[in-house]
Amino acid sequence: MLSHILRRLLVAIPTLILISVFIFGLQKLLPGDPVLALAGEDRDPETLNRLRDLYGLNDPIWVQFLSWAKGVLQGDLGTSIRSGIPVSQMIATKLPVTLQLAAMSMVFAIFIGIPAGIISAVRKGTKLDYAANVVALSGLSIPNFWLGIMLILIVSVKFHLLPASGYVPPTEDFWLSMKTMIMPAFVLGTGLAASLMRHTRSSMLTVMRQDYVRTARAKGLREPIVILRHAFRNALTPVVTLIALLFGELIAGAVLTEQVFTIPGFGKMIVDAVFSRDYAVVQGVVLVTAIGFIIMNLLADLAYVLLNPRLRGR
Amino acid sequence: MESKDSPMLKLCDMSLKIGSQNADLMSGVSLSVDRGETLCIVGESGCGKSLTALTIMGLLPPALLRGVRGTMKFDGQSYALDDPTALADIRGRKIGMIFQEPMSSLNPAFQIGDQVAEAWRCHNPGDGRDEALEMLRKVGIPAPELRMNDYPHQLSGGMRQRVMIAMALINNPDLLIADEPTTALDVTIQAQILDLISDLQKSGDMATIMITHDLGVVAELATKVAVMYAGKVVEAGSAEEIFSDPQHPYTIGLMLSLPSLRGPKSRLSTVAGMVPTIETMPHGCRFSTRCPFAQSRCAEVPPLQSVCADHQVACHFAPLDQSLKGVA
Repeated sequence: MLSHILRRLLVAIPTLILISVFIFGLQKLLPGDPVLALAGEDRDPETLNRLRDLYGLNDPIWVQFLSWAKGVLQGDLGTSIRSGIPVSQMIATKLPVTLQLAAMSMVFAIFIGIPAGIISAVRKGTKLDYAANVVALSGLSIPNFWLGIMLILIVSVKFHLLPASGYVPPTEDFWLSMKTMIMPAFVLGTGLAASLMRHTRSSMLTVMRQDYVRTARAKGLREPIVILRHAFRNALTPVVTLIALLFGELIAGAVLTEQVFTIPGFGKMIVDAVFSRDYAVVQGVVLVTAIGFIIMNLLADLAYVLLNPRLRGR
Repeated sequence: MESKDSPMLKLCDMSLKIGSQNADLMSGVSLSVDRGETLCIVGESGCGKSLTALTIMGLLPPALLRGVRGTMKFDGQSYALDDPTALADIRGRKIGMIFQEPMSSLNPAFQIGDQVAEAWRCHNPGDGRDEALEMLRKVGIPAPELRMNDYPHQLSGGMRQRVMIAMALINNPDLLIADEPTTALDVTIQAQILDLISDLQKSGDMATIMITHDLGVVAELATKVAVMYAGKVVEAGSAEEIFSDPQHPYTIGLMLSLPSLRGPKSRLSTVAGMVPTIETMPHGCRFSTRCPFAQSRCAEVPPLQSVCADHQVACHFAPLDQSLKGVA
């Protein structure tokens, strides 16, 4: 078990190196110059050159990469050339915001998507199934930003029920934090709930045809127990994978929703950094996102082992 | 046999129709089995053996359930076959079932001891661990106190089938239905499992329905036999009667297709042709398309009628000696 985890972590190292190299290269291919963005109106060539020297932008690209990588290995992600703040510090303030949003969205997604998927699988072909599918399809096709704006208009502007935007850390005021975050979390969560529902449904349909489900019924177990204990337990594996992947995506992918609700999160930070060619920030963010993905995948793997006894004891 | 006024299980005139098909998938199936008896249902794949078993258990999928007609009397109580809710109460408690596929019939996510105990738990108070242990010992699982904590994938096919048997019998049912319990197993294991089932049956005084296409199994275990063909019972009776004096051409064909160790080696006899599909099902005798003796009379449905006290056949030419005289 432990060796399994260690092996997975070892495999993660080349993945991270590859991603870093790729992103580093890609950024250099992008048109635009961070120094120009920084210098503003002042286009004096000498100033520009001095700035380039200062940030090491005149060095060959591999020298730049190696010096960045050396810093990373020592725990230094570099400094934002725009704000002068260390990247690690920026990430430390933004990441918890996005993690809170992601976690709350996932709670919505799980509590809506999984029961809906189970019900529509068990009641396959009935009106309930069609209704769940229609709702799921709407959830998938309604753009998050539109739903977000509509919710703000109705819930906040018209009825003044919840704050329209902003962010309050839960450590400061837990309930206010929940109140500000619940709308964006709902918006993100419904989209995810739709794909969770579809996956749960198809996985349940496969499992419900298995012989052991028939055995469970033959024992005389009540239908809810057959479905939840015998079928759902075995249908969970692909659903858990999806949850892990979706969570990974949420770390960097909540940009639109963050923008609509003006949440100072990770996604917004990435977009800002790309626009201002703030290389160090982009690199740092990509690295952290990649690590997040790898951790989520590792957790999904561990969940498999818990769910599937056949994978134990290897 | 007729110690009581009615047998343990009596299935009356069961039929099954799917959607708008013109012919019934199964029709007029009546069976009965009493304590201490073993009824073997014999027939080719797709003749309705397993559907009969699932109907008795109330386990038909909803799509098929809609097309079921008929009643069943079990332990003195009547049940409508198209309403499995009433059967839910006796399923697993008074009727136990063993399935064909031991490899896939156990839930891969739970320990076997737990799965056996669960069968006890859902009908009795207590957690059922002790009962499960006792039952696993009874079905011949070595070191059951250790094996209880194994998952299905850690057991061989034969061991898994023993677990299935333990699960089916833990509540001491009045009726055991075994749907081809040995088909998926090695020949050496098959004999062990059959011996186990017949031992347990004798000690428990259950009624047993054994579904099989293996006439060797029938010869070994059956006290009664029902031969099914294309969704109908074509011949039924006591095992001695059926084996010593088979009357239906299909039964005779089945018997002839058994290889013999004695005598000169020859090609195995087969029943020529294929079972007709539901679209091509003849209106009269369903076997007439393959029957070597078929004549114009066979366009009428032959009723299942007695040829002697313990023997019914659905063939216009039964009993054979008489009709053959007629033909000659």
